[in-house]
This record gives sequence, C-alpha cells and structure tokens, in this order.
Amino acid sequence: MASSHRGLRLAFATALLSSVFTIPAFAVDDPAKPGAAATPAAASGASSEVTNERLLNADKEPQNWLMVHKEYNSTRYSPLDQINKDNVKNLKVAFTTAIGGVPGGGNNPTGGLQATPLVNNGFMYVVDAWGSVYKIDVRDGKRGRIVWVMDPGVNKADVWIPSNRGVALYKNFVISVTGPGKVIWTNAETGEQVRSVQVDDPKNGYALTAPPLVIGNKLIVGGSGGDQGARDHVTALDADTGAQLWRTYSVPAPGEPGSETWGGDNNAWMHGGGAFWVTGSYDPETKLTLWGSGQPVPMYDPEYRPGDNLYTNSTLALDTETGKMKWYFQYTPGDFLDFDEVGSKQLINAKVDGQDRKLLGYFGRNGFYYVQDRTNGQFIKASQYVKTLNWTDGIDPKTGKPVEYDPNKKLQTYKIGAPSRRAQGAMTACPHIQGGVNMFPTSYSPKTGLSYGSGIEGCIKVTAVAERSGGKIAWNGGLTEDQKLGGSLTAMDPTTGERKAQTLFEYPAYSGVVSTGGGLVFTATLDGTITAHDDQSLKELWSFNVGSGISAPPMTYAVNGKQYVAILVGHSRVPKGRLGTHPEMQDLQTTSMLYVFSL
Amino acid sequence: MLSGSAALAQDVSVGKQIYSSKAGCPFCHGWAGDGHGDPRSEGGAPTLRTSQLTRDQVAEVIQCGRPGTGMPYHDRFAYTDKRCYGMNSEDVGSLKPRRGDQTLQKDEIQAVADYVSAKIIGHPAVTKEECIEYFGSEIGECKLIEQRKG
Ligand code: HEC
Repeated sequence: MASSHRGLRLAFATALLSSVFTIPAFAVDDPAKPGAAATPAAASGASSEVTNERLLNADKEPQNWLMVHKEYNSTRYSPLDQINKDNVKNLKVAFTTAIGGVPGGGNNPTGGLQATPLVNNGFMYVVDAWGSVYKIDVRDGKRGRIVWVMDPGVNKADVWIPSNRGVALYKNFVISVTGPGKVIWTNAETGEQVRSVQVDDPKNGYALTAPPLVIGNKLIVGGSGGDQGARDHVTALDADTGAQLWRTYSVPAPGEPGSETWGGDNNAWMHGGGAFWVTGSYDPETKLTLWGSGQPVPMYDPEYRPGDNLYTNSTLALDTETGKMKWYFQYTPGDFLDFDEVGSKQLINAKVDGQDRKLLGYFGRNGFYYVQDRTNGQFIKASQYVKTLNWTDGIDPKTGKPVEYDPNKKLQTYKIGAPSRRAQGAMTACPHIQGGVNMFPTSYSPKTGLSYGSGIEGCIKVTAVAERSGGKIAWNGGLTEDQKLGGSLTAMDPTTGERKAQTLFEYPAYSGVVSTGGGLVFTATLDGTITAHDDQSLKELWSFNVGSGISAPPMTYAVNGKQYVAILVGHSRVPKGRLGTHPEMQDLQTTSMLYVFSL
Repeated sequence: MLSGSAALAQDVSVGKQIYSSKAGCPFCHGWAGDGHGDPRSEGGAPTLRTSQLTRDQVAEVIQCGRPGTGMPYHDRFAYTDKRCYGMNSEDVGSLKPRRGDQTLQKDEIQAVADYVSAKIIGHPAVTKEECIEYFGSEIGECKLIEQRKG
C-alpha cells in the first residue's frame, strides 16, 4: 500500500491536466494530445472500462489485447495485417521502455520477465517478476511512458520463483497476483491498490504466477507452487468483492474420487502439486473453463507416491458456475519427468473427417500435440511435434495414453524408466523435462488452420534420490544437461495431427507465439533473437537480436491505425540455465525492458 | 580455527553478500546452504551444512567447480592454465564443469569461503534465528522454519 505513492502522484498530475479536456471517467487520456487516443474503440465513444461484453467479443477489437491469451479460446491469433510477409523485413524498433525488477532476492539471483503485455486503447499493462504492475502510455508510437507503477511491496525472498505471467483487466481494475499468493485489484486510472485477497497460505507451498481469467463476475485463479509442494487448486473469486465462490483441487483428498491413485504412506496427496500456473481457456457455449495441471510432487520420485496421481498432468474442464469437474484427461500418469501439462489450451472449431468438431488443440510438454473433443474430453489424435523424443514409443490411438501405460501398475516405467527410479540412477530423457512447449503460449491461426508452438529441443539426465528430500517434499532428485539444447517452432494441423512445418533454432525458444492476419508467426529464442516467420512454411522472414535473454511471449496491437509488435526482454536464472550447454552465451546479461516494433 | 574477531565478522559479512547476491549460490544450495535451492537448478546441489571440507577446500571448489558435476567454477580463468587441480581444458575434457553466472575475483572467492566455513558448514540445523539474521527480518520464509520444526 505504501508502494503507490509514486503512482498516486503521477496520477494526480494526470487528473489535473485531464480535467482541462473533460475526459470521461475511466478513459485516461493523454492530457497533451486529446485527439491522439482516437483508437477505433475510443472514437466510437466506447469507454476503456473492460466489460464482460468486451471480453466475450475480444476478437472484435483487433487493436487491443484484453486478456493474457488475447481471447477466451487461447489462440493468440491477431487479425492485424498491416505488418505482412512482404513488408516485415522493414520492421524496426519503434521504442523501448525500461521496466524494473532486475535485482534478485532469496534464492533467486535476478528477476526476469514472462508476462504478455495487455493493451487497452493505447495503454499497456505489464508486470515484473516480483508483481509490480506498470501502466505504459503507448499511444504516440514514439515512446512508452510509464503512467504509474503499483509495487505490491512483496519481500523478494518470499517469492519462490520470479515468474509472473501477466495481469487481467476487469471493469476499471487491473488485476494482478503476487508470488506469495495474493490477488490485487488496482485502479487502472490512478494505480492505487483498492483491494487484495490472500487466496491460500504460502506456508503450504501455495504461490501465484498466472493472471486470473475473468469470466462474468468471477475471477478464476489457478494456483502455482506445485514444485514446492502445494496441493493446488483452481479457485473462483467474486470479481467485485474477492469473496471465494468455489475451489476445485487437482489432488483429491482421501475418499474422494481419484484418491486411490495416490499410494504409499507419505500422505503424498497433502503436498501433491498439480499446479495451474498458466491461465486457462473458457468456452462460452458450454460454460466450461479448461485448465492444465502440473506434475505430481516430488517430481522425480514416483516411489514416494505410487499410482497415476490424478488429476496431475491433466486438462480439467470445470463448470464455471460451480467448479465441478465435467471431464478430465490425464496425459502422462505416474509421471517422473516433470511433464506439467499446464500450457495453453486452444479452443478450435474445425472439420475432422468431414465433421464439424469443437476441438481442444494442445502442445503437451511431453512432446506430443493432442487433439480432443473439448465438450467431453474425448481423445481424437496425438502426434509427436518435437524432433527428439525417447520416453515412449508413442500414444495409443484409441486411449490417448502412452503405449507402455499399464493401468494395473503402481509405478509406470514407460520406455526409459525402471520400476524403481531410485535404484535406476541417472536416465536420459527427451524431450527435456522443461519441454517441448512449456508454459510458452501457443497460437492457432484460423487463416491457415494450423496450430503453432515453439519450445526446447533436446534431452536431459534425471536422477531420483529419495534422501535429497531432507524434510522438504519437492525435490527428490536432480538434473544434469550434457547435450546441447536447441529450439524449434512447429506448425501442427489439428484436423489431421500432421506436422506441417518446423524450423529449428540454435538456442531454446522460451517465449511463445503469436500468429497474425498478415500471414506471420512471431516467436523468440533465449539468446535474445525475435523472429517473424511465414505462417505456412515457417521460413524466417525477419529477425532482431536484443542481446539479453527472452522468456516472455510476443504480442501485437494497434494504435491510431498503426500495428505494433511488443515483447518483454530479460531472463531469470531458470531460463538462463538452458543456455548452459552453449558456453559462448555464458556472459549473457539479463535486463528488464519492453521492446516495441513497427514498420 | 576461526576466531570471532570483529575483523573476521566483517569479512564474513562481505562473503555473505557475495554468496547471497552476486555469486548466486542460493539458487542451487538454498540461502541456508541446506541444498534447498530451486528444484530446477542444475546438478542437484547438496547441503553444505554437513560438508567435511576445510575452508581452503571450499575456496578451491568455488574457484574451480567440481569436474563432472553441476558445481560450477567461478574463476574466469579456471582451466585456461593448470591452476585448477593441475588440469587445463584439454585435461579436464568433457568433465569440465560449467562456469558460474558471474565470475569472482580471488579475494571474493576467499570471502565466500570464509562465510561458508563460518556460518554454514558445521551447523546442521537451519534455525529461525539464523533466517532472521540472514534476511534482516522475520520474512515468510523464516516462519516456515518454525512450521517444519513443529
Ligand atoms: C548450478 C548450481 C550450483 C551453483 C550456482 C553452486 N553450486 Fe555448489 N555445488 C553444486 C553441486 C551440484 C555440487 C555437488 C558436486 C558433487 O557432486 O561433488 C556442489 C558442491 C559444492 C561444494 C562441495 C560440498 C562438499 O562437501 O563436497 C561446495 C563447498 C559448494 N558447492 C559451494 C558453493 C558456493 C559457495 C557457491 C556460490 C559461489 C556454489 N556452490 C554455487 C551446485 C551448485
């Protein structure tokens, strides 16, 4: 609370000047240039207040980006087409803005950025690793002026992982989360904190890293902190009061359905993980919200928790009104490779075998691209998208489970594990335990009918060591990289499961994807290279290197009829580690910057 | 072996500063050196609290890393000559450890070794008091220590 003084002062100045031009409430306009805010929405008299109507029709505002995955369908497709295959070669930096949050704290040597910027009528909202929210005026296209900063005043040592993936907009509030588990409402105009709610107790490992999904008058909040032993859940809060409406755990308590899949005598369910650290999707037709759950805990040690460990590594379809689980689908039961299946769940309408289908398209962290019926979870297809994969011989075309999966076994081995991982020692797994496509948001272009995902290519050595737990429950093992890690951008056809195109990168892609009406797909790699690709061939058409690691996804927006591409630059220690097999990158330094490009 | 003189206490605070921020040791070993850093850190770093190493051996490990393990070296010129275990890059070959994110000068390595030897090695239990001292106040992390005890 003490943190908003600076924001208040700035906002006060803005308010004073604004009054001269009688700006309507909630439309914070540039005092110096009243006409400059004439984005289509503003011009048509619409206020900047983010209503449910606007969120449901987010596709009708191509100039804006109103929620983390752009639309409820999580497809991150922008119809903006001013920047296209022909002219993208002329794309250049329009402006950059320094964001705070580089210095580290606790176990984390530095911060790092993972957020997707939101844009609402020429104002951008971003968040840094420690939960500080920045409102940036990007209207004139020549500079990004920070209008206010809301620093929640979190002690960095209490932030277990310096990751924060964005904010949400609701009415005139910017809604953000903090590592230690708070949801915060900030006045979008002034930057003043108006309300905060502690969703669950960080003592139990609970953390927050993903922005809530606003549905109607609810905030759907997915919990993080699985790796440190939270028993995670999706929780709905009243978007106006913060009151809790429902809570659905990914790990059942004893006696609940699925609890029989948590064996052993460690009470593993109490700290079972299954975190929801990427924002889910929402299907207004079925009123279902789809969230992906993370891996079971301890991540490398299945002997601690024998069984399938429902509902970890799954997609959960929850009734938005009640939180009741309508269906679930578990991708890798009894996991020992840290295959969180949290990534974006694309809602796609397309024909499969001549029939109109309501599909869920999903790049699994386990290396397979899955296609399902999103109304009931029914498995349709899965095919490998990463180049190198060794942990299974494939996915059973009937069940959707890895072919080695045996429902009668307490400990799955798949192709590379031993019944006792503890006894087996080091084992090489491909893809890397971080993917494939990790939390890096993916995209689906209705123009090409293709799903795009970018991620890591390579393998890792994993050991399971029970003694390593030492009273904490999240570890029980270690990892070693001894092969070079690269990256890839892949286009999959959700109707056939075919891999249509793939581009390989020298360095891991740790960012995400946006596809556009201009026929382009943008992504970025950890060495700081941002690239634009042809949306059919994935041939690289443009690139720009910023000289610092990128672990945040690109997005695109328009102001005053001009299209921009924006991305946050600056890595934390975890992504930097993925460059460890590239000694030439060992002196790469982190930063905390917004880069915006235009023609 | 280590006296509690004011001069030494000062040295240890310098070492603590480097341990906790510039060198980034807590990412792998945890702020308390108990092995509970980030679960995604490379190598599965062990607790240092029960280590049998002498102060000078600690300094050597910080400087040179441990070949064939996830423990990185922090001397920018390690393995360029034979200063580390009598091996250059060619000798150590594929066992050459990674380099730390930030490299340290000689006096910095000595300061970190002083800190690790004085405050971490030989203190098996992590205490709440130690946590408050490390962070300067009773942050949430320190409250967790009481939880675990109780
Ligand atoms: C990238 C992770 C990582 C970082 C960063 C790191 N260590 Fe280590 N450290 C390890 C691993 C892994 C081992 C175990 C090596 C082995 O298997 O012998 C280790 C071992 C050690 C040992 C030897 C313990 C013993 O009893 O044998 C010491 C001392 C040590 N580290 C101190 C430090 C200090 C001080 C720093 C900061 C300057 C640091 N480490 C940074 C991963 C790390």
